[in-house]
Amino acid sequence: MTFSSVNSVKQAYPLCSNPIQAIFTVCLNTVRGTERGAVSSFSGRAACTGVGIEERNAFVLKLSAACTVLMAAVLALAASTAMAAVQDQKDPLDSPSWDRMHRYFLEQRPYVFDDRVRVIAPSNAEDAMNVPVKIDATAIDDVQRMVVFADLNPISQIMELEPVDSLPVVSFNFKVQQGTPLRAAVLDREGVWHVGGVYLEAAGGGCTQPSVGSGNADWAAQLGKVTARLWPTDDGQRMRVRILHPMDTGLAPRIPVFIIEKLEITDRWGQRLALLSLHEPIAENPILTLDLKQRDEVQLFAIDNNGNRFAASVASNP
Amino acid sequence: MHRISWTDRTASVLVAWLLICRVAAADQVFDLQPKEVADGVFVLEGELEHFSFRNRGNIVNTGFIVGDDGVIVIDTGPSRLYGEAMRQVIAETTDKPVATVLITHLHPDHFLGNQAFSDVPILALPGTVKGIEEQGELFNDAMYRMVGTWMKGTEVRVPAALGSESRIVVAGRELELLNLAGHSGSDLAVFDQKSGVLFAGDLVFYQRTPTTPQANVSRWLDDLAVLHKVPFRVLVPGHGPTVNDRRGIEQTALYLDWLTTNLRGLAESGVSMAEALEPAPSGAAFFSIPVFLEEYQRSVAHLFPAMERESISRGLVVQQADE
Repeated sequence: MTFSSVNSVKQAYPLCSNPIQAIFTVCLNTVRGTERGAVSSFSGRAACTGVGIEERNAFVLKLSAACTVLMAAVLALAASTAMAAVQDQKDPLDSPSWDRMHRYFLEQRPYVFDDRVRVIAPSNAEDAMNVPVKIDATAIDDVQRMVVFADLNPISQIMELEPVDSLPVVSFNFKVQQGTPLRAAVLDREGVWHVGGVYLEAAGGGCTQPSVGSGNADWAAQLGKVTARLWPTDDGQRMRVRILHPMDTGLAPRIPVFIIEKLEITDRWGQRLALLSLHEPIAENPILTLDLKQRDEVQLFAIDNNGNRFAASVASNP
Repeated sequence: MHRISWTDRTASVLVAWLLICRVAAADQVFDLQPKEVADGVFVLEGELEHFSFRNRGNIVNTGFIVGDDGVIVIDTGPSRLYGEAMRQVIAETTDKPVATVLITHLHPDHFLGNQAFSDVPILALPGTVKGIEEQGELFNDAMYRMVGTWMKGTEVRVPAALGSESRIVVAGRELELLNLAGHSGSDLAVFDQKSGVLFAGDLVFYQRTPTTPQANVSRWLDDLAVLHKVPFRVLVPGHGPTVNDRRGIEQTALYLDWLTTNLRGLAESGVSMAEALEPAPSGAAFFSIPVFLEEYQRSVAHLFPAMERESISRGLVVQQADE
């Protein structure tokens, strides 16, 4: 029994307020069913495996049912212990929105608050339109995906990273509207989210301002201009990329959403190294910093919500 | 008739009571202790902190010079209540009337007490006047947010512009005006020749980490070299204790030099802005100066973006035409 089946159990028993209770309810029903001698789910399964429900096989059935119940109980106990550790934690940032964040961005999968997911940001946002953040999840093995969000921002979701063949580390800047928890969650191989975060103080207002650059007459000529640079590191290279783009949130009066939505980094043969999804809060003219595991020329592709595509290749400085 | 005189009496009592309350309020809000740093020259020293409800915005040094027949005020503090308290302190120190107010620069802790001096000329450099016209309300709003109720009744009063003269005589006092710009884009330093006191404004911070929201650091370092040559005996920094030597100038210059050299080096080596928030050990000499970490991190926000843009732009990129 995996965590996801725990969740499916929970969904099948919506009245059970927690998964442990749900599991015991299942077990209890199973035991009761066995006592009655025939339970549809077991008979169905028995039919599939070719064991007939005959009088002379009743003993075998009872034995197998008993084994199943025992196994289920053992697994349920193990799972519920893990779940208790995972889900009964109090949000260290004590946010009223945590449950909603979990529902929206973590697919209601199990999670654990984990300091090893390091979120580095200033304690106070000096420039609400350009708050620097670094997420470092190198302490978590096999990170499948990273999502970054700020609970109390009008648009909470900031970015996602699939660190396909790069380290689970990213730096970027974002726009903040008010003081808020700022979190990163990384999904491990087992399907558990590890959630780190800090509280960011902010006078705010960053999300409802028009972009600065689009006030210039020639902004469109510069749209999508890429500057980028590579630096060798111990086990690969760091890439810093800047793309000129307004990244308008749609929350400033009469200025529609205009953002880069996807940024893909590949090697020279087109093999994906990292994939980023960017959302409205990402700062204007975004600068993204990634740590790649190879040390060769890279290519990048970006697409915005108006269908503009930008492509560039980046080589190491001699 | 009887009723009207009763109303009059009540009204006059009420007015007197309100006046007392108002004065008492300002007096209770700020405990300003004038420190005589030279003969007839006084400084009101603020806390070595950030704006907060607790410190009521009093984080700044203001001062006044008692001249032959009047008083010259240098900066009016962060709020109406501060300005009123300052005016009261001046009245308790001398019978001479306030002759002129000089505002060193546009930052809110230096001019938002202007309302208490609305009956006298308030003067500032033309760049400061323009800055207060454009940004004064924003600064005032930010102060209400940070300091809260102690800001009550504070409104922006824009100073009048000084001419291009480098010397003025006020209340029989010859003042040298240094027209500088490194800290805020328009910075006035005032040198009182008779007492040898230099009011450096925020071009000098001493034992309080400098702030850089509108700084041009290379220009600021040039300005500090100018101040270094002024033959002062006493230097009043914008923030931090008054000194009798060039320590304040030197500390400010050393910090700004470290700040920019260090940040530029980080940007050049590919460090991200968030990574730069952790101060490098090379700055250890400054770590114990009050509000170091806060101001350092604010300075990263002010100074690092231009440096990293510059660094990233030196990478080798071939961009394909739009598909």
